[in-house]
Amino acid sequence: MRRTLLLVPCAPRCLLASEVDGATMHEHAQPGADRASPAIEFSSGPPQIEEALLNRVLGELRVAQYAKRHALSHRSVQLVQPLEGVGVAGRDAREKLAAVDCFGFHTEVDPADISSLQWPRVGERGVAATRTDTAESRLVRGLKAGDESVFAETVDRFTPSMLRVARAYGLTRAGAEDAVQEAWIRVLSSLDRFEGRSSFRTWLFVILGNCARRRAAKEPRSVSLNSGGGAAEPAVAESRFFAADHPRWAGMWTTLVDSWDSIPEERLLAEETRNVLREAIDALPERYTVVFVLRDVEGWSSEDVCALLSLTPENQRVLLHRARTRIRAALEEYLEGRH
Amino acid sequence: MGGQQLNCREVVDLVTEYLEGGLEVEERLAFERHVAVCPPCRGYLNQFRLITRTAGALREDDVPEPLRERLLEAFRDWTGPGRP
Repeated sequence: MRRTLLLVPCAPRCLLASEVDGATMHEHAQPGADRASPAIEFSSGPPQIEEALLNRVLGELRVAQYAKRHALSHRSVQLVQPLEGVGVAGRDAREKLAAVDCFGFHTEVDPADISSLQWPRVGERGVAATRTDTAESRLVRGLKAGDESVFAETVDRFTPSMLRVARAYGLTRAGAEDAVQEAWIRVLSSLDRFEGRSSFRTWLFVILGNCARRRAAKEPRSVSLNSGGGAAEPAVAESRFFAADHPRWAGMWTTLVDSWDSIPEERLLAEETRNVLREAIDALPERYTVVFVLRDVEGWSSEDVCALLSLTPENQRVLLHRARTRIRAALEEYLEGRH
Repeated sequence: MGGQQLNCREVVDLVTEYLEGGLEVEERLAFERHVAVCPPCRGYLNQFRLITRTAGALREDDVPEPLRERLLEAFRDWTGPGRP
């Protein structure tokens, strides 16, 4: 039976769905022979299974959304997760793979072929870059030629992300829509100046960033007064650790930290939890929000975010860490009722 | 030798670097050694992983229809007779 491949990002230790009874997951060892990473034993259960469960739930959610959106039968959409190298955001593969003609979202593949598919790996930038270029050149050519169906396709593909990123600059929903509209108009009017030196997506989001920042400067902001100033902030409240001069437990946790594994998936993915997450994101200083949205929500790679925002990898990591730290605290407060 | 030791406070500061693959070998091994035997730090690391995953679920993939219409209109204006 032919299936539609739905590509879903995954965490660094990744799993490849096989077609055997439609539900079996195999663990593949992390590629990269130069790093001998010791296996970590978790006392609460095999990590692969827990990751698999969470991946599976998130994957099923995506499958359901995707099937609904494309009016497909739920059963005909097959979940596949690509292999990734250590330490790279798995979602980056999605962008690259979406541009690859053979393995795009709409491709139908014989199940027997799944295990033999060659996914572009992190580090194989030559391969992925070429295919992205091909897909992007097609887009740019179509836009320059005034092809409305290509424009519609490009709009559908990028606008949802553009809206989220515009909001990350502190705009309201309406303001974000205006910024996005302005960005598209600017893109069209400067299309003849786009030479393909950067990727189309990067160019598009540079323009969007400029439009969003300009608008945000004019809009009064009612969100967080905390501009995320220069001083390094502690990741977690001091009281959660024993002091550095403690005779026995210097620097260790004073409290338990729950792994959230025992929180039912329905609660983690529930609308209410997602709202808490959205509010936490909105409350972040702009510098953190944009990095967090691009990396963790939109799934951009570290390199692409650094290129877009003119950050060094270290800068970007610090901003991302601070964003995640605050979001973790907000989620902890909500999920555990802890203050 | 014998391996670098990290305490929980240090581990907490390094979580994103670890997940990004930004730690040098020695530090990464020290991190993983600590996490292997420290349930609260394991929990904290897992929480960070969950943030990354659930953040991705915030993507709702449709363009609001009125905006989509406005964009198509803008495109038609651009390709229209007045286009330079």
